[in-house]
Amino acid sequence: MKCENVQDLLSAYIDGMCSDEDKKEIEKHLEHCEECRKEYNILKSIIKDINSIEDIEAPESLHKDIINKISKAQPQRKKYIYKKWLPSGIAAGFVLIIVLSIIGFSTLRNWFLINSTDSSYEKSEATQIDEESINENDVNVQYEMAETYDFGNKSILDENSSQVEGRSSKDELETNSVMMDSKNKNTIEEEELTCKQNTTNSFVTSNDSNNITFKMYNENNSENINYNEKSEMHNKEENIEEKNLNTQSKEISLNNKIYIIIFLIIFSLIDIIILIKTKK
Amino acid sequence: MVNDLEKKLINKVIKGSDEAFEELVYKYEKKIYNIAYHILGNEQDAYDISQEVFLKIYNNIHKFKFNSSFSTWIHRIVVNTCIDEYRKNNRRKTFSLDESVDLEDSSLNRQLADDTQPIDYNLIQKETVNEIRNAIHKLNIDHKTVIVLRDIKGYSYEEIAEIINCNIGTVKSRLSRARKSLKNILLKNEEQKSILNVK
Repeated sequence: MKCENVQDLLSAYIDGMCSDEDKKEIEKHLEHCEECRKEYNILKSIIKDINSIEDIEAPESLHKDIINKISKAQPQRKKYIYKKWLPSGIAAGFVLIIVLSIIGFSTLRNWFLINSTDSSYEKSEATQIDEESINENDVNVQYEMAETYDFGNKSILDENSSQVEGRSSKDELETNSVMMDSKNKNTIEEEELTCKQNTTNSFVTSNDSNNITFKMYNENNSENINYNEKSEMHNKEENIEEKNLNTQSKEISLNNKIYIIIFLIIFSLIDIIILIKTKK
Repeated sequence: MVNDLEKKLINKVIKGSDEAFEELVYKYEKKIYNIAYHILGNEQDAYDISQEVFLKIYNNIHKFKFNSSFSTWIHRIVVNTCIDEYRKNNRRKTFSLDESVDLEDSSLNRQLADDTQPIDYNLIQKETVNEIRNAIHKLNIDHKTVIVLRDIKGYSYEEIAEIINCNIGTVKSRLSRARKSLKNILLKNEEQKSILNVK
């Protein structure tokens, strides 16, 4: 090993930080190289001298001054803590908003669904009646009459009878309407009662004075059967419509889900932006 | 790496306990003050730097990761703050390097004046220590740091490597060069001293 290399390694050698191989080589070299031995001794004594440098006592006022400085810096520290917790606070806030908006949405959706089913049902019923009134015969007129009887008003009855006149071209119905006009209040009330039952049988077994409906149903017996069939049909159609409503509500809930997802994405984007800004 | 007691103390400080922080001040103030004093070479700078270091610790303690030694973490702050301060002072004193020879002379003159007084043998050791201190002060900041950490404070190569954030090989070579420089400065001083004595 060259003197230069040995002198480079002397520092580590003194500290015992050389590899065993280097240590052996250095020791061998120092044995016969006076210059390196001199260098080694100087270095060793310098290190010894440096080691003898002792720590000095810190001034007594230092502790007090440090504490004073820290107490003055407290607002700054609080700012650090605030900065540290602010993003998580905002995140928590947004999570709360998202949760609340989901709850809000679900209630809104339910409300919307209830409203939509009501209105659609009303609509379907109205169209049903319209179709029936267009396509069906006098029985339907009678059916409508039965419905309007529920209001229990004489004037309405008059109107109904005129409706019957308008809608049916038969002479018999005309005479019936005249007969109806001549009826007293009691018979009307009785009629109301029977009509409320809303069945053809009740019509048949109703008071004798209720000749109009009786006659009408006797004459249009076949039509009565048709009516029964049609009422069944009506029920079936209602069932189908209920099914349709169910599918509609499913569609609505799917739409709401999409809205909620969009809302969540927007909120999380805002949250991320705020987090990035606060970190900066 | 961090013992349980110290961990508890640090956690308390993070939560905002000033009493816990004061305990840390008691534990480390002398160490910090002395490292700053040895690196910067004067008491006033050491005093100011100690306060600055504790302020940094206070404001950044929540950033401390418990996977390394807290002492090492503090030493790193001290050394970095001292290096920054040293560089700041050097920038301010742009001509100080050129004037170093004059400063040396003035210190020598003062030593000469001291020599005229009756010899106090108790002061001989102090004199040597002062000489070495002055010599250390003439080293560049990197060499000065490793000499202070290794030969004055007695930290291991591993600890120094962690504090100055480099590998052990770098510590070895830097320390070797620092000691050589110090030897050269001291030999130069001896030569000048002998010349003056002869005169």
